[in-house]
Amino acid sequence: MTDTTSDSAQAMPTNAEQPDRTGWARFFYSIGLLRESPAAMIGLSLVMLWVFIAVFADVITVWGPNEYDYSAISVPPLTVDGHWLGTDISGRDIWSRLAYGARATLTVAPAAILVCYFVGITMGMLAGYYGGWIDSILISRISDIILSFPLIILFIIIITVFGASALNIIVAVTLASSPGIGRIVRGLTLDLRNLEYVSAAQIRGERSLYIMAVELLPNARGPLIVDACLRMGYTVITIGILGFLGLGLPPPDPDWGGMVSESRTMATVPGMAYMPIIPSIAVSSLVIGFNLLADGLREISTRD
Amino acid sequence: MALFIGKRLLMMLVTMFVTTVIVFSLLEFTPGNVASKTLGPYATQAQKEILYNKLNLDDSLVVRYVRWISVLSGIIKDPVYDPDLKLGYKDSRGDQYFGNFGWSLKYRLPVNDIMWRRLGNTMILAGIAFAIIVPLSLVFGVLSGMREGSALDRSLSYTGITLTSIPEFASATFLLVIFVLMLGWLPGTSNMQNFEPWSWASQMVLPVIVLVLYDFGYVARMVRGSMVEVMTRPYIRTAILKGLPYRQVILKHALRNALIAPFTVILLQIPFLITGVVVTETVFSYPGFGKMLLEAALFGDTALIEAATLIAVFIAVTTQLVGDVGYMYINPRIRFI
Repeated sequence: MTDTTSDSAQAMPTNAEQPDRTGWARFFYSIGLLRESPAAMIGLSLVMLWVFIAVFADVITVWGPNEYDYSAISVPPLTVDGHWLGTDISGRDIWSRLAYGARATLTVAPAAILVCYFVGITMGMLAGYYGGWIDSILISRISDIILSFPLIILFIIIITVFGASALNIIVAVTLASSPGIGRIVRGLTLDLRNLEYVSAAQIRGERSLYIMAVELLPNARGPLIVDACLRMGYTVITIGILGFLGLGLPPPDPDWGGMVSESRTMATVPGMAYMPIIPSIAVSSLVIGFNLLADGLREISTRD
Repeated sequence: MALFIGKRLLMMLVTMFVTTVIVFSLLEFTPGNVASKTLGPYATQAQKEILYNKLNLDDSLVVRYVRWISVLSGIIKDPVYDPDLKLGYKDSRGDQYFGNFGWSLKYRLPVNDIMWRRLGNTMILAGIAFAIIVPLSLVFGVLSGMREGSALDRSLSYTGITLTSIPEFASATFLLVIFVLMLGWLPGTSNMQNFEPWSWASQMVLPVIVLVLYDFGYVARMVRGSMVEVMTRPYIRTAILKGLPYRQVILKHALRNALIAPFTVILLQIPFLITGVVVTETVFSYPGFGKMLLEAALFGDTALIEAATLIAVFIAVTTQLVGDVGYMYINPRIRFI
């Protein structure tokens, strides 16, 4: 996959002239490479913008997310001081709800991704490294069953049965996503398992856990970082969908999908359409950010 | 070949068995709800207990699951249709037949009376969307994969990323604002009952566009990826070097090989569309399977959720089987034992 950066890449010095980098230096060097791809930079800035808004939500907002301003109900954006994005039908400040919604989304999504990766990597490593029945019965079969399940039904059932909460969203996303991650990790492990440094570690008498964690995992990280970035985007969509269907974070706390859902009948009302549009733009821009970033990261990782 | 299909059919059955067990145990772990859901909020505790005992809800989960399967396969009568219970449930098919999914509490109808009609509506919606997604993404995927890095390729690539990044509820909002509020060309709801001001076709437009927008980018990118890979193969270089017209290289040599990999991806979009359908149908109040499923889940309509899950999983595993078998036919290099 090469597209935008391929021209500028040729102008770069070849690998042979570059000094060896390790650890953090290498990490920052890779981030620096992103600058060559305008799309990836747009993605990174969108993500960073929302991270900033989420972190400083209480500093950059005047009103609380669940605070009612009865003197300003259904005020359009940029008309009244103090509510620059306007207010919703009950007089709550949209900017504040958006910012706290960003905080909710950007807390739940990374947490869900972390848990997914922990489960997925464990499953995939075990399946790829040991093979045999652990692979064919325990992991691949279970993954197949979960993957053949239409995910939305799984989400709806889990959340209607156990109730809507951040923890249950994480559980649902983990159940749905970890088989996919497990498959990728299994494939990567199968590729790496027969390499010399793994045999060397085996002959040294290292324990399997050490080999998996120290020898295999770090060498499989490239594709996994790209995949994590893509999955962040999809998890944001999932959280949005759940919120939209009324299965997201319990009200009145704001989440973007819920904001669209509450005001979706306003989309066809003259002068009120900003209410569902603003959170729709918010969720789309964050997902576009993650996906553009993932695309840029993939270019970098396939280059060296 | 027959062995392969037989193996896969067995796998299908196992998958469906496991999923029904999971769904059944999740939904019916606490059977007390069933009695109070059936009788409604105004029932007395005594009434609930009578029903609870008559339906034998205190049996273990395993016994209740076996009973559900037996009712479904027509081996025993469905206990809820027993006239002694005075629930007033009536199924025109009788109370013992193959495919008896029971009674839907939400719609106050036998599950079979509501589910198949809703599934039909969804198939119309998803079918139209699918009939647009496939040719559109094949054309654009092949065109952009043909010349990797060209202006068309780049713009298509970023359009694809952007489109797949916009969740359906957001794109539906944007479309509603543009086509309903600003232009007034289309209706904002598609309830498929009242065709007075807006015709059937005009009600279908927005739901179909929402589904197409979300899915098109993904499939087109898959086709593009496959095409890019094929274009780097030696046999393409040979074909170009031996002087074949470029058109012929693409049509005869590249296209056939490039379409093998996306075939599975395209088939896998059918279960994927189910997800999109839930949101889209909810936005436009379209009376389809997805909206029914969500309403059933929010209401706690156990019989309907179990039936709908079974059907959805059946559709998903069948498309996978069709995908695998079709893949063998179009790719002569792959032969399963």
